Amino acid sequence: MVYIKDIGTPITDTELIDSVLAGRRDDYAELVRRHHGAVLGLCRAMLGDPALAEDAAQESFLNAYRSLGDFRGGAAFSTWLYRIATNRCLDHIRRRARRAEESLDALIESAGPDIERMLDAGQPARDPVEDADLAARVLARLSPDYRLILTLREVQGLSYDELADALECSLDAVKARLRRARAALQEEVRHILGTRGV
Amino acid sequence: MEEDRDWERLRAAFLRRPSPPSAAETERFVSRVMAGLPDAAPAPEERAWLDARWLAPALAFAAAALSLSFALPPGEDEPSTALLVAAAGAGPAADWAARPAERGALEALSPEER
Repeated sequence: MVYIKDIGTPITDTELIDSVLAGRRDDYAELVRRHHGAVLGLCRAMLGDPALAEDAAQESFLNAYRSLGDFRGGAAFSTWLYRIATNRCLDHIRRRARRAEESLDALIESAGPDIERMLDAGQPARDPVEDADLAARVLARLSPDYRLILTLREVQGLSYDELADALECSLDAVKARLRRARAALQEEVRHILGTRGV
Repeated sequence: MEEDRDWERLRAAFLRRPSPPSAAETERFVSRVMAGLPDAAPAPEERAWLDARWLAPALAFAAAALSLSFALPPGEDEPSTALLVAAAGAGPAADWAARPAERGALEALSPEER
């Protein structure tokens, strides 16, 4: 189905939400279609595991449907959805935290040279799936807060204002947390590479 | 400058935008989500008026003011400006205001008689 009002005027997210709330349940499919990529990307970056990310993204859309009546339209639907997806990912991370995390030694031993190669722009590109997996393992060593803000800013490309909406904090807090998150990632990579430096 | 370059290398290596899912993957995902939706449509928020947080204290203040206006005994009327002006020839306005008994007699006089 093509969701346009007139020629060249696509139906907005807010209009689709109104339509779903009015009882046209099938219109929710278009909202899912529009935001699937972004929500799945966030979940993958947060959780690392593609299967778990898929589950978290699905749960996020189901939760969003149940709470659709609470959406006020003050922020963009995507920002509201990010908030829901973030909470789902944090739940998964908390549950997973009880399991043993990969030790720094194990990561260095199994992936140290590959990480160095990833950082060297002159090296030939590797399998993007392997690279994504390795990036997820490195990011998994950061705190969920840092992983989240780095993903939303650097991967999803949210502005500072959108970050403040999604994370429900002030602009100053966003900037400070982002600075600390970048420093933490630099420090982590420095540890992994040892004296070779970043 | 050097720090910026370092950060760009890290960003490019570890914070890449993943390739978007294919149309077929998205359609499969949409089907799964739609199959999992509850039968009931999501209910619009019914207590939207609660969002106007200023309304509760404003209503409480209005109710308190209204009940006070009924509960307190009425005070003695202040002399109007017209009466004060009219009494200007009979003495200081303050003296006249302090002798309410004389007001009736004064008010009975025409302006020329005053």
